[in-house]
Amino acid sequence: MVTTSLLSIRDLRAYYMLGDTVVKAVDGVSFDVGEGEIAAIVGESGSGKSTLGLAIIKLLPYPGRITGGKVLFRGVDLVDLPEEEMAKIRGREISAVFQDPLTSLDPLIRVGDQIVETIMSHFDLSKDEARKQAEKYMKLVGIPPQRFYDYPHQFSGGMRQRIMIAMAIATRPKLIIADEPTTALDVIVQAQIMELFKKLKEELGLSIILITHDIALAMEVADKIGVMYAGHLMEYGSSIDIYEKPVHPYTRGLLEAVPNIETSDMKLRYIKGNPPDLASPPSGCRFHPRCPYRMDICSSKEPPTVLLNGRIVKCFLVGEE
Amino acid sequence: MISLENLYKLARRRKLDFLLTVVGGTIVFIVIVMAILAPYISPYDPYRSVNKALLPPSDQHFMGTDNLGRDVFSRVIYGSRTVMFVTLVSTILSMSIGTLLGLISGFYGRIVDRILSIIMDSIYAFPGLILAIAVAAMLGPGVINTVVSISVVYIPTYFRMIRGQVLSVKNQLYVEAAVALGARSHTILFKYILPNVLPILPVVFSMNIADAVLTEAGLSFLGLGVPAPIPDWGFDLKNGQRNLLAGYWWISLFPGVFIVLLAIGFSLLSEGLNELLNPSRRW
Amino acid sequence: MASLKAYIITRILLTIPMIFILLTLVFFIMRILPGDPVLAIVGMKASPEQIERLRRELGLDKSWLEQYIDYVAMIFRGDLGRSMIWGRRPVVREIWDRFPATLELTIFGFTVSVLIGLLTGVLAALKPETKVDVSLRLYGIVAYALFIPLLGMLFQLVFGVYLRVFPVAGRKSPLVDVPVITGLYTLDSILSGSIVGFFDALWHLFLPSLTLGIVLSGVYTRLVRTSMVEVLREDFIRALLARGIPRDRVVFVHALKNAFIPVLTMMGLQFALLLAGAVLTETTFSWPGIGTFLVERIEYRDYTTVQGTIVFYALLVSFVSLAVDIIYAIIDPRIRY
Repeated sequence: MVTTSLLSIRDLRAYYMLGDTVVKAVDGVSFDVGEGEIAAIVGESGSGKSTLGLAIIKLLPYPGRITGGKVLFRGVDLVDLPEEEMAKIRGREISAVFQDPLTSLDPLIRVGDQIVETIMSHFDLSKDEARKQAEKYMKLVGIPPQRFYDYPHQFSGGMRQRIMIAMAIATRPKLIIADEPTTALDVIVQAQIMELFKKLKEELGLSIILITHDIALAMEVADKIGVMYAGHLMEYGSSIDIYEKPVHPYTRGLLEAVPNIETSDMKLRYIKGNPPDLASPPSGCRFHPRCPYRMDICSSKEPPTVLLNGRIVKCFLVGEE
Repeated sequence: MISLENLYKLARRRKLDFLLTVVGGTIVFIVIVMAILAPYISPYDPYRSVNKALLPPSDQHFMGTDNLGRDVFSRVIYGSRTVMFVTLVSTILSMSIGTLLGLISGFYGRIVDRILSIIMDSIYAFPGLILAIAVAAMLGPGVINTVVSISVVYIPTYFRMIRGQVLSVKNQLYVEAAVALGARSHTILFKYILPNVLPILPVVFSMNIADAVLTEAGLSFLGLGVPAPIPDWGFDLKNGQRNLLAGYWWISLFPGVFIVLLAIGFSLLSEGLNELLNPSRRW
Repeated sequence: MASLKAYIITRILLTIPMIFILLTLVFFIMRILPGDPVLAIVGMKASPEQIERLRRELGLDKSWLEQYIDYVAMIFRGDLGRSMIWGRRPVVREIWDRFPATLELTIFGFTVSVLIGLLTGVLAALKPETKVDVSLRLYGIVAYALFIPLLGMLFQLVFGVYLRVFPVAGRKSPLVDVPVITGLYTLDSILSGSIVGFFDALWHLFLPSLTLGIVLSGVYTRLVRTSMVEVLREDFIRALLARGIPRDRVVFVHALKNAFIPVLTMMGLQFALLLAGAVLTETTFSWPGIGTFLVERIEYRDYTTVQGTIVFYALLVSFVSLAVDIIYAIIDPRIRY
């Protein structure tokens, strides 16, 4: 890899403190995202992937807390940054796009004004200048600028997500965290939004962390793929490597579960069992109760994170080899 | 449903709500005991002048005497009878009429429902105390008239609750099935609607009494409630006002504090019960 | 915007049945309830001729239907009949003389209650499940259960009798003379440039509006708290923060504006509480508004005036709930389309 790291996450831990129980949603995750790179974090619901996204911008919902690790953004550790400094980074350096575009806009304020507000809170511009900027970005994401004065409820889901993206890029950030940005949308709109992401990456040199449950979608757009399971990052590497040679049994399971019309085998495959309760995760490797290659050691010891030909794997199968 | 064990678990989980319920319940309990045992615990006859007028609180008169030389403490104790009787009877009356109308409206639907609903909504939108004042003014003073005046105000509360329940239950599949199988109205009522309403009934009921206590006190404060010389907190509060500015605070203060205490008691009880019985709904 | 107009027209049309129901309700209470107004007015000792004359004058000799039609027709002409005592003035005039006092009190009481409610509600919502939240929750319960006359009399005792810093009765000092223009003394004194008059009016308003405001604030504390907690949990709040909009702006502009909508929808009903509260506040502070007027005329058995005043309250409630709904539609763009 020749790209320099824009974001380096090291042993990040984000827990929810619910009275006596501690939900370890993100438990020791490390990976790098380079400049101009799309990194997809794939996992089932409850794997901690959304928590990871929120932890990076330090917007964990109560009672969530970052309990350890580092989030190095251009060399600065965001975990230690005071809230005022963090507010300057949010939006300006790192933006976020969330799952449900229907509820992600303030329903009482015209969309144009919401974009203007975002721009003006980061740049010292007059209202007119900010407006021109806003219209430029509306155009860029494919919204006619004459809809500046419309309210959120007057747009379709896909249009709203475009507006969210316009706002995310209007401050010219380096990194966008997109948490299931197309899950609430239909397939065609989904493809359009993904094309938009690719275009933005190429035209603006953006890095994107795409959080999704859909590994097929991740394969299409992402340069790198990380697979999360029960708060752990099981495997992380370039999407081609992972597609061609998945190492972790869980990654293999996910890939096998993708319906493939090219193979004659039309049976719908899936991974047996359910994801664990993060308040009391299984001992050892968290995937072991569902793993077809389970060994004795898997239930007693947590596998180490191993670097293997430019990819990260957390499995004893690799360690043993 | 609500088993003791469940209640205990919930109580542990929400200590505060349990505390609210206990504090509210205790206040209500004390006032009820006061009302029942009034003849045994009150030191003097509340109707008679027993000493000089306007005596400040002392060993002899724990809460002083009023402008007619009556013992304020005894009047406060007997006053609990008036307020408890009036509010309980009127709330039960509202509940019965409101429930009946709500059932009729919910079951018959169509035009009956339309008419009843708009009438109830109009009453609900009208200031409760002013409605009670209008009715009381026309009926004239009297205990039963006060009961009627107050009960009119709260009929819509129960009407809306029961009607809403009937409609939602009616739309649920299992009742449709029951109706299809030939279940009668009263079966539906007892088997499907009552179990849904029962857990919220104590909550609504005690909230309603808290409100009724204030309305009753308001009516008698305005001279439209129970006639003198029946001991009544609202009336005694008003009676003391003319001497208040001269510094004889005890005549008004004690009855007034009891009005507020009782209203708080029922509110806390309602609030706490709501959390304990229906924990999904937060305040 | 055309649909906003359509909404308003529909809402106005819906107000008409409500007014009719309320007027009918008042009619029912005044005529059909068992108390006989004539006997109540003239007393048991009146001669049959006297009773008959009064009965005819009030139109009570006609059938109920005729009486009802007369009654509704009169109200729609803007006529509420004539008072039965003291100069027999038209009831409408009597009410208009006293309405400004009630209006001024309710405006100030309302402002106090909303200010306290917003402050406490937002504070509680920002620190959910903490000691602050619990105390404010208790405040909400206690404030609602406070009996207005008791709180008012405590204020009179402390500020009027012991500290002697605020007047305990009336709307103005006897020696302060401000020409009556609107009847709202604060406004009138500004219009006529009287600084003394303005502060005198405020000085008199202080205790009554504080009393009314505190008691009503409990409801707002709870409403604002609940609604704010819900809004703060919404996705768009997180999205705003994620875009780096300053937290204070997110809370006090975006969240508060959204949290206020459910509060606003409740305001029609709150207005009813405000009016009822004003009756007790007025009587406690000898405030010469409609509330004291109504109670006084009930004592004098001034039957037409009592009926007219209740009708006035009914119309007021209907119009305010209409106004609240229209304001709501203007603020919330989702309603319009």
